[in-house]
Amino acid sequence: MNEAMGFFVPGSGWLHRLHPHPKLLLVLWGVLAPFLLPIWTLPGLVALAILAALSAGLGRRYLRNLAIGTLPICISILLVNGFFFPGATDFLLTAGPFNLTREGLAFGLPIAGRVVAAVAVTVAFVMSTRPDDLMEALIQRGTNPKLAFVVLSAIQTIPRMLDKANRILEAQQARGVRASGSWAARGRAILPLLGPLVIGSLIDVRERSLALEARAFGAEGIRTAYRVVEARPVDNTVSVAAKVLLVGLIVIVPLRVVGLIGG
Amino acid sequence: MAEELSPVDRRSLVVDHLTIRYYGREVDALRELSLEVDAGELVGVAGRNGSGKSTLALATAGFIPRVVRAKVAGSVTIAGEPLVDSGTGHAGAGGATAARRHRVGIVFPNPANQLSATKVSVREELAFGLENLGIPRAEMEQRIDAVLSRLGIEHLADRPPFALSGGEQQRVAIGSIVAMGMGVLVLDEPTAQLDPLSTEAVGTLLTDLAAGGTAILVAEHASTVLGRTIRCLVLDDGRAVTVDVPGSALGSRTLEPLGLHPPTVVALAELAGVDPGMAWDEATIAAALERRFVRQDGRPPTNRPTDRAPDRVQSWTPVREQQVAGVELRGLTHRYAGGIEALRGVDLRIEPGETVAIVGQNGSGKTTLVKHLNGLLRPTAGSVAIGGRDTGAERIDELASLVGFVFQNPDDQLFNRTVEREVAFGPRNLRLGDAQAARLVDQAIEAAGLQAERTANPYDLNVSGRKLVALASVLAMDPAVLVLDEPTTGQDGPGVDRIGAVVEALQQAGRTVVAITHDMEFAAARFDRIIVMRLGEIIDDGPPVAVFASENHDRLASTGLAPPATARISSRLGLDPFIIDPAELRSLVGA
Repeated sequence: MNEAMGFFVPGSGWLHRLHPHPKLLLVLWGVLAPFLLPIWTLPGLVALAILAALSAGLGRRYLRNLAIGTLPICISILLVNGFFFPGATDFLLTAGPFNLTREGLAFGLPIAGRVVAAVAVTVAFVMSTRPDDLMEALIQRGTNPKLAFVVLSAIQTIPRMLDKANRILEAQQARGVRASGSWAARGRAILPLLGPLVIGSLIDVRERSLALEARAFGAEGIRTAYRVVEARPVDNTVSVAAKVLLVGLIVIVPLRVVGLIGG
Repeated sequence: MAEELSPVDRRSLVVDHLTIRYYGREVDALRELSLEVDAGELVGVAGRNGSGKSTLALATAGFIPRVVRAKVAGSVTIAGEPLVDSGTGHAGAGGATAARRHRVGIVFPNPANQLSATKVSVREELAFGLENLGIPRAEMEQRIDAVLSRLGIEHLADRPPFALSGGEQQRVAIGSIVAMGMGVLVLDEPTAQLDPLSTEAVGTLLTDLAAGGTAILVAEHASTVLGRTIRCLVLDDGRAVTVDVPGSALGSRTLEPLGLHPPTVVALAELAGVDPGMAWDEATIAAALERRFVRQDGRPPTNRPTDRAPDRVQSWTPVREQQVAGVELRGLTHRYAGGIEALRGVDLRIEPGETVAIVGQNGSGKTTLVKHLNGLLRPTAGSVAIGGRDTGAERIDELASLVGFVFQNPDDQLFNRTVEREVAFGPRNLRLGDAQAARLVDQAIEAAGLQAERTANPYDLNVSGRKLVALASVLAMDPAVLVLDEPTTGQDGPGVDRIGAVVEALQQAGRTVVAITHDMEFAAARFDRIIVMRLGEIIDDGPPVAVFASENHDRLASTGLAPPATARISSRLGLDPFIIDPAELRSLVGA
């Protein structure tokens, strides 16, 4: 993983070839659908996302990233709801003062499922879309170039911050900070880690903003593009289809509210 | 309509009685400064850290007061058009200001922070500024091709910018400004983080750009860059001390009253009586020295008094009861994820109390090697022993009591409100008693020369000051082995002297010191032993006088290194025994 490429993995599958704009519309649908469609659609949505990713050649790395992106939060959701669901009485398991309840799991499982479905399409998107292609595609579709750059930079901050955090952790361990073992020890390591991370990031922001200014980022006038992301006829077709699907989702919401669609 | 700029639009820079004071400060950062840089001129700016070099760079690039707020008097003009309106201290408004500011480009010290971080090839990175200026795509291609060729970086065109070395990134950063058609180029310590080979490449590039008509102002410490300038401004406390050819401006008459040493090559030129205009011509210096050379039976005298000025740090008194410790590496191999073999079966023994400098170009395995000394990296194969103790299974924080490690970037570790608290952080982690910790904190602060900054916030100091705080914070742990990663980067002459004195004081106290450095003069002057690395292996190991001897110069070049100036001139003189200490050379000519 690196700064400019983010989580992108080079490839030539159909997801890689799809124009970023219709792909973004599909992802938007894929993120909203688990929360708006009936619960019984969840397994199908998850399976669809995973099949799409695998058929596009994203392979085992996709499954690993999906697991890393979903397991911690899903386990947290299931544990919190399973053991601490208010008023639950149907105990499945007792561990000391804690009881795992059927009601809690029944409440937590759909939430976890929705998270998995939403993350599954997002991971497929970021692994198959070059960040700079996305930025150019958005600008070509009318997004403000400065806003697009800021959004892209914010996304790319994640790998940069992880790298910086690792360097800081090494530097503090070399001064005797213990970063493993008891929770108390880990807690004491937070300030020496966060302090330089925050201050160093502020210094980086200042240096980067000066450097951007030196590259005429604040210049007035019409911006031109060096990298052109071409849309094929099939991309336009997919774009229309994605918009229809999104409208469909919006229509479903009032139907569910009035009870015409259950689940 | 986007403004169109001609890439051959050459403008000259005039600074007239410029005074700048940052808000909240009680002293001026620049005072009544005047300077001119014409098209085709490469002009240098030298001086101690904090003397006003960066402020001058920001002002001449039009960043003060428009981006960095400050009170300004006087003016900066490009081809007669003001970047800062005279008298008001404010930048002009709207498009006129934008048009003016786009004729001058600036390059900063940190290469990584100058790249857009959104582009995946050098070609696209070079296009970033052109896109912002609204240059048509066809013209972008022409400009990019021209810059790639002019800077000699065609081979980098399709490589990802983030995967380049620091020197390559800095050349791309300079190229990205040149591509925008800037007639005036301002650089603020562009080689501060580069190895000698990259520094030389940037120096050559600036010379070529100036020859092509660009007006260039470069604030620098590196004598290899300053020596290429047509004239050099020396700053002290924001005032111009002199503007002269570099051989004079950086000579002892100017610098010594300021507490600075002239570059070695200039000192030798003075010794040889060479005209200051030829101060960087080593062949001329060697020929002049030979004429003055006093030989005894054809050999240099054996009595070699040195006249190095006494250092301010004379001693280090161990406080913790620690055994002296050496280092032993056996068959050390390290392979990173992805299969890159950074170390290939390195065998190395460092005796307790030795001072060792590890040199080699970026990627030669220096940092990988020293990161094994305190457990930051674990061997893929082989073993590491410190003081006879195999450290393979020990945690980093446990090894911290034995091995101190000062990182290159101080900002990766500083977080306390005051220098004193920062320095006390390490001893507190080691759970030393209050009295012991207090003694160590006092001693470390004094060793780093930070007594006056004891209660200051570390982030109120400049980078070189913060590096000294980081050094003090590790010294205060009183380690048996001290590892320094590029300790002199960004330091001015007094800062380098300070660090050198700490190395020698620790050695006198029986401590072992291992340093990675690109500064060959520092390595030659302050260390017992030099280890040269290339592609994960040690290719030379011995005392400086042997490693930098004439017969090794080709081997050094194979890993991107050049011997220090004294060694190069000694080589030209054919001295035997070989001399690398400028003071020894001075004694030979009876100076």
